[in-house]
Amino acid sequence: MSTENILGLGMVVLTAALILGFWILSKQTGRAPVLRQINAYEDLPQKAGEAVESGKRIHVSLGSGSVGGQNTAVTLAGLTVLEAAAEAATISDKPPIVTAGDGTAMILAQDTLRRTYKRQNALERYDHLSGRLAGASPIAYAAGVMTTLKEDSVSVNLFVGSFGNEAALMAAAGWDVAAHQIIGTNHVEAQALMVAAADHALVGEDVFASGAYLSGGKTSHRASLQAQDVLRVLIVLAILGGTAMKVLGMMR
Amino acid sequence: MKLRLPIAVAISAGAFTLLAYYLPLNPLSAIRLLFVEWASTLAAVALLVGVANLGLVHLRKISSFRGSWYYSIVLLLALVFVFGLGLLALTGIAPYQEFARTGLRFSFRYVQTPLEVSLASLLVVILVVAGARLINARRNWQAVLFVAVAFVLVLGFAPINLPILDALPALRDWIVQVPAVGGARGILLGIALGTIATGLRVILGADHPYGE
Repeated sequence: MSTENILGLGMVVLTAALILGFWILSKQTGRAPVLRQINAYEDLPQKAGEAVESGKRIHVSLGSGSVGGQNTAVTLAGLTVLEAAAEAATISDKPPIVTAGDGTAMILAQDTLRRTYKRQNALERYDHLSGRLAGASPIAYAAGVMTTLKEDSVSVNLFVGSFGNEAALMAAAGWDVAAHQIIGTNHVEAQALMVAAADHALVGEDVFASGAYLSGGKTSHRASLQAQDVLRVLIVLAILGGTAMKVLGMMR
Repeated sequence: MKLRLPIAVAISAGAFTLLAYYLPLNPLSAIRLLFVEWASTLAAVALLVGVANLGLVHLRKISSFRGSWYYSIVLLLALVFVFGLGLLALTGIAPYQEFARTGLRFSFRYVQTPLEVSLASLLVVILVVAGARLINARRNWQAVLFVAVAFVLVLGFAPINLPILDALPALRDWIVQVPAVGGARGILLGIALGTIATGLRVILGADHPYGE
């Protein structure tokens, strides 16, 4: 077993222990941690409400990532946003639409929509074609999403998933229909683009924080944010320690 | 109660695969690879379901004459044609197989690839428009800094030979190698922590994006 494997396993065990610890603590004390403001999530309930009132749609885009591949986590984050958006919009005449670029993500998106409708006793309103595969390659997916935005009266556009630079094409289609756009991705090179193209960009770990902010905030998601904060401090200390050791000549 | 078995299966499979990744011992690794193969097979089946869904969405669009329904006809014809070629290529009958392979190569090389490349080339124009929109929508120092840095970088890469611009390549390199790399690494650390936490929530059973 290599040193990298031991360190990796240690990191995973430490993260799991921290999440469980904060989760149990939060359940026992009943106190929720104070979260910093993320404008994208703060505005979302209001924008979703406006979409419902104006008879327009919410569109959630999960990107071209698959569930089971390296983009699984960010696709799951997109599904959390979808759940919150669907909860807000099930009463609407125009139910939310979700597009995916992979079969596994599409099936999970349909299931998320169906479960939300069922929870709200509105299963008869669920349309299985609200969850769609828009295209199987990133650019084909972007082209499919652009058509959806223009033809389905979309007024709130949530891109949360795995997107490269092709998200700019989709965002441009969103400008044409004057949609309120929130974009979050796990691709670093596309993040600068998102800042310019979207009304709100979810930078870095903000993409994964949706569950802690939306639908009242899930306890486990809040606990995992606390765990991430502790780990971030440890990593910063490790970087500073390494830098100091290098400067002092204690490390080659 | 209904969810208990799927949760147990998901947690066990996730935890086992993760453990086998870090402990590459023979029986563990073999079972992990088997799980990964099953996942790949399921993903391929899911893609077929996705293609069927795509077909249904466009059939509905055509039947209701909604939006650009005529493009949906083209899409469905192309889908059936390429799918048919793919099936023909699998038959193993010599003349048909060769024809199908040539057709598939042609479809991807001379239709799909040029279309995707031309769409991607629009990105440059969209980026310029996005910069202008940013300044217009958000009149703050961050927006100005964003556009100014983008301008310096683009100008730094341009083959302009003016004495006044001599310092630009050095400034460009400093921006790319120091603040940009530092910022990108910070963002990557955040994404990595978020990814680990999201995955662990599923393995711990806190999140279950499946079933009732």
